Amino acid sequence: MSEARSIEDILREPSSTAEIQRAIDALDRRETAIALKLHVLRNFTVESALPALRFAGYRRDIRIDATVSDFDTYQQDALAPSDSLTGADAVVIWLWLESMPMAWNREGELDVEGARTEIFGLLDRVSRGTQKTIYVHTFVAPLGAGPAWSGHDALDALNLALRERAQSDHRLRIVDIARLANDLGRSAAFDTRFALMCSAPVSAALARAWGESLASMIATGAGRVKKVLVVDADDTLWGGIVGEDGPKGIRLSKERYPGKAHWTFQKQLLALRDRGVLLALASKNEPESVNEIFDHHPDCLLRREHFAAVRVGWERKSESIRSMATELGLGVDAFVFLDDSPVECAEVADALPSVEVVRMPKEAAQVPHVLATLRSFDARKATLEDRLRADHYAAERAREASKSTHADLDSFLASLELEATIGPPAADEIDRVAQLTQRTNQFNLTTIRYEPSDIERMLESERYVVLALRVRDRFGDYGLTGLAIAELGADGLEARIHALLMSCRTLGRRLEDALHSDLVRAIRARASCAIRAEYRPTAKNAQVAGFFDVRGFARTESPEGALEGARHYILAADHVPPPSPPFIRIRRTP
Amino acid sequence: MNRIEDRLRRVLADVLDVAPSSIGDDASPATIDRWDSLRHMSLLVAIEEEFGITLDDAALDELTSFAGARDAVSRMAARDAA
Repeated sequence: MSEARSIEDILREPSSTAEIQRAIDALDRRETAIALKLHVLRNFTVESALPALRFAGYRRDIRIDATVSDFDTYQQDALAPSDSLTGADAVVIWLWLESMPMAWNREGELDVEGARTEIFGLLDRVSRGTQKTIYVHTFVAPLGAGPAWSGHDALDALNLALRERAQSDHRLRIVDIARLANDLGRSAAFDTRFALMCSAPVSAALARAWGESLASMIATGAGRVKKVLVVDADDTLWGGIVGEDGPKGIRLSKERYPGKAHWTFQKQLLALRDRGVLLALASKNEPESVNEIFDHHPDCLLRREHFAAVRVGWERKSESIRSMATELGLGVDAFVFLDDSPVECAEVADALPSVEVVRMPKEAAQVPHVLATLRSFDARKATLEDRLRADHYAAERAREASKSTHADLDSFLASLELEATIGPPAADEIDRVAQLTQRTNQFNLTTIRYEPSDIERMLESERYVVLALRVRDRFGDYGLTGLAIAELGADGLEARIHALLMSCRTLGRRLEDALHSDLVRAIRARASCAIRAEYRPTAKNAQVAGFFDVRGFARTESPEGALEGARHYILAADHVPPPSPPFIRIRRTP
Repeated sequence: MNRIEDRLRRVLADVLDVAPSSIGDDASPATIDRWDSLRHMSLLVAIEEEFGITLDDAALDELTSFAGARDAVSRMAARDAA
């Protein structure tokens, strides 16, 4: 009998249900960075799928515990919210169409209106009962429904209605189980035996795909956003080894297999880049041989400029990733690493446990499968900033080049022709604002994560000042990259700064001074009061530890029940902050 | 035969979170706390994966103890080999 694999190996490459269960039992006894509770409203046996979700959570250092409603009481659970529902960090709704009486007419045909009324009514009630994010599943055709089943059009209409609702409801996230099942094929996705024996239709394979998908959405909601995909070159971007096989010997072709597999893979990478994922290259090679392919191979779709960062040389890959993280101003936990070599994969996984490591398959035909099944970049919504972001880094390189020609920083900053637009976020900026609170770790005074619904609530309230910072310069548009939130006390004697944060992309330009100065000005326009502020230390935000100290704030005692290590401040009511730096042109929106 | 028994014992140990040495012939939901209906379902899937078989109805009925599982798997493996 072979030696049992380590938990770390299983987390990286799970191979069987038995191993996954063993890993879960072992990991249940360990600490995780994040722990959260889900409450599942359901009408079938979801329990058989839950271990796969817990495992996918552990792969992201998140403990996911779930409580479930009774089969027939999901409606009551929503009407008179149970403690499990109100105490949960998020609500999951997963209904099996066959077990929804309202969804079927007397002839036994799918009744879209009935089903829609049922699910929308449930969503309304849950929305009233909790402020938390709701993950709702799409519907799938009943067991035994072949391609000729009469309900397919009605089913599509039902799922479309759900997706449309999610577009206008910021708290709603769609778990598209219908598409996950399609991807696997219905006969692999559903287990008829368990469906009939114990109302558990979800197969082990579908459970794993589902677990990855939902865990990835949950991780994103918790601010664990993957932003960078690092790829190897040899046997990844193309088949073969360019240093040995030569530029003509590698397998990369628009027309012929097996090279076509890698051409397809490159196309997938470019599609990811279009969605705002940053591509990076880490290859052990001579730079000339790799560049030869990027610059001259007729079927190489990727060009050097498509990569936000490049490391070609003989460094350890974990070192390459570390230095690229510094270059891009991101944490290594934002990285996913893709390589065909088990040695490189293990080296990165051991040195940088927060990097997600994915192994490239050996078989060319399996290559396009890797990105199709990788759920880590299924971002919540691609915002305009996402799409612009990949281009930002190219512009950033131009700025760096320009920097070296300027002797002192102020004249360099003046040469950028910075323009800051400061004001409350518009309705179509709310997603971006929430996303910024979830993604920003370094220049973030409190690291409080907000959902779009939180932002909406504050914008509607008289008591909150919410200011978004949009930045552009002569090299390009950065979009919305800064945020400040303050709350005025009911008595009008004090205000409190809840959030002050800036994306790394726009640091080093004293834009934080402009944002801070405008925040104080906006608070004072409502009430000339003292302003309290707080710095909450995290593993990543040490660079802003002294932010308030150098801006006229005085340290105060920590109040009862304050976060350990947090620093508390007060700015006197008569303290006037210095004006914004002269080289930033400020525009204010009402 | 022994190989099947060892592999099966490993699968049960993984899924039920017990030591392989503690699994005797009479191990069953009555003797192992964690062997509830949910773990039972995982166990069936895990056994099918391990041995590359699809348990038939008779085998599912039989699978209520370690001895029963061993007999069912041996029978199905022998039939597949034939």
